Amino acid sequence: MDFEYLEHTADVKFRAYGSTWENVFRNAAKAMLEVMTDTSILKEEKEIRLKANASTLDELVVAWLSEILFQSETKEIIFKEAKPEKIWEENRKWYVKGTAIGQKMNKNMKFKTEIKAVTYHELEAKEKNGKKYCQVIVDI
Amino acid sequence: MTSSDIMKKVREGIWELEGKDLQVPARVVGTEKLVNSIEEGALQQIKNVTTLPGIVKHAIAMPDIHWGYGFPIGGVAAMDAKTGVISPGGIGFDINCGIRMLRTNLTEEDIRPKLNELVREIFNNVPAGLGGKSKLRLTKEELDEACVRGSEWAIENGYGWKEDLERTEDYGRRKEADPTKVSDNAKKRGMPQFGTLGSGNHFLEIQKVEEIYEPEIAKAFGIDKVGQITIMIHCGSRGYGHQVASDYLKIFEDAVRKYNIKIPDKQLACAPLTSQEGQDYLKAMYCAVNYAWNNRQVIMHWTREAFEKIFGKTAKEMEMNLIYDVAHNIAKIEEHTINGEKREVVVHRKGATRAFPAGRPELPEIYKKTGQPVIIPGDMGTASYLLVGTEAALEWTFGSTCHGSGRVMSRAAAKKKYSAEEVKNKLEAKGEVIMSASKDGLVEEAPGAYKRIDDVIESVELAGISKKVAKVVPLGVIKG
Repeated sequence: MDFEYLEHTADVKFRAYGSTWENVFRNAAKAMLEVMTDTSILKEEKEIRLKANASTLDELVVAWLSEILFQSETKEIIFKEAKPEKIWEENRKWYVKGTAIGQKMNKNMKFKTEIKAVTYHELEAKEKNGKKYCQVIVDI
Repeated sequence: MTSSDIMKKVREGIWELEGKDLQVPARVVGTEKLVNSIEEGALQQIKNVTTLPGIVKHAIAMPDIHWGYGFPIGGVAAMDAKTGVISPGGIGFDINCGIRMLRTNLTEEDIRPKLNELVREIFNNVPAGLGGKSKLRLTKEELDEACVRGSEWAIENGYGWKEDLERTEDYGRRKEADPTKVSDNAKKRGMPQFGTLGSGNHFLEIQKVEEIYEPEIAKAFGIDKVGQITIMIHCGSRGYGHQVASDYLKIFEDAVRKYNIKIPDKQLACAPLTSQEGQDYLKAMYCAVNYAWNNRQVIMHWTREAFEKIFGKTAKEMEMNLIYDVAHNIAKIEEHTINGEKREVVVHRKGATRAFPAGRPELPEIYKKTGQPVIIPGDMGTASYLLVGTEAALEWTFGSTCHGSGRVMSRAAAKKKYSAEEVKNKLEAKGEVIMSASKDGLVEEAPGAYKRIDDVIESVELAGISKKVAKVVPLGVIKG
């Protein structure tokens, strides 16, 4: 399983899984983008570079997803996918860099819901029995 | 609620939660029936709030409380202005999400024959939903000016009337706003969205007055008779505010470590109000507050224009006056009496509305004798209420009341239970006209996903923290 949605009354809560942190971050992006639209029908016509940093790994998940939202709103692109190339720690700071690909927004697109922000509430980025996962709640 | 959340009755409509390590009591407003139905996660959150440094008197959960992030949605807390903290999680991502209500001299008979046309015109005039692009494209300099001057900016640029200002909380402007404290990222997000409704639970509604409870106060607010047409606009500071909140949460995550503050949830990140971080956030947050007032002002102007086009009369002829605009995601430094002593506190209202009684100096002349109009929207299938602030609110809830009906069903569960057609058909059978930017949005906001607004209003009346003035029901709904 790449990701799953968990019960939450007002917002959207999900867990994303993977064998590497790069995979976890990619699946977390998928879970978030699927809230906004049906990503399967999107074209891959615009690609942009992404980078983010934070003090801890779980905060980096928030920074990564927030950067995707920011790029989506300001470049007016609706993303199909976002892929981290590398996640690393250096001098007690965490970094991620990667790309996002999608389609320019237009009036005829069928959207689901706008995401306001990525929250720190019940945030987790952990490794259990050799399996990595993160848990995120987004505010919609 | 579970057995671990034992409640003790403090007075009619106000309950106290039991818990360990609470610096001050955690209290809940509501009827016995309603407080017993509150989800456990939300009650834990209001208990978490009591651990924040400098909190005074008590933390309060409103009857429409539901599980949020950090603070619950429907949470109020006041921190000492000198020794306490400010927490972005106590305001929310949608800074100055709020609601305004207009009156008209039209009646249901006047608008019924043209209701479809009117809803379509507004829907075309007011961008809604994800990707809804504004007709207005401000430059960065114009945006900065708008965020410094609040609604004054919109009115000077032709979006509205001068008298709208005194009918907006804080006259539509927080003077502490400083755009140099706002990131370029926030400004970039805010520029294309200035003058858009957004999605989620945001809406624009055409309503009729169904019942009047306090005729004299209603008259002072501009409500004269049953059947009179009113309009409500619910939205906030869009990507601008969301980004300000996200930026400062990141800064505050580090501030928590710097000031060695112990918090039970990362989303409760906070900094002393008097610290550099606290002051910077305050100034940036107020830019977003001013953005939101402009946003609702511009949307109101386009709504007035839509009415003008459909009815062939001017908005002035239709007496489309603003009743009031209230913020329900905000923090402000206010003077409150605590244990008989006047103190400056920073009141966090997250999913809570200011409800000041007659005489408070913050109120404009027109409402000094009546008390502040309080606007509480219900879901799109039932009703909304116009209320008035009271002395009891000052005494028990730092001059605050509820903000809406509050969700009881998750969006996923609502999608499983209802279909968009079903929701639309049901509302249309009641005579409502609905237009929505997204099918999902319509289902997620299905009336069954919310608490009964009547129960919430009964709760705030029981506690005495606001008083019903009039009830309105929807005729036309535009959903983001």
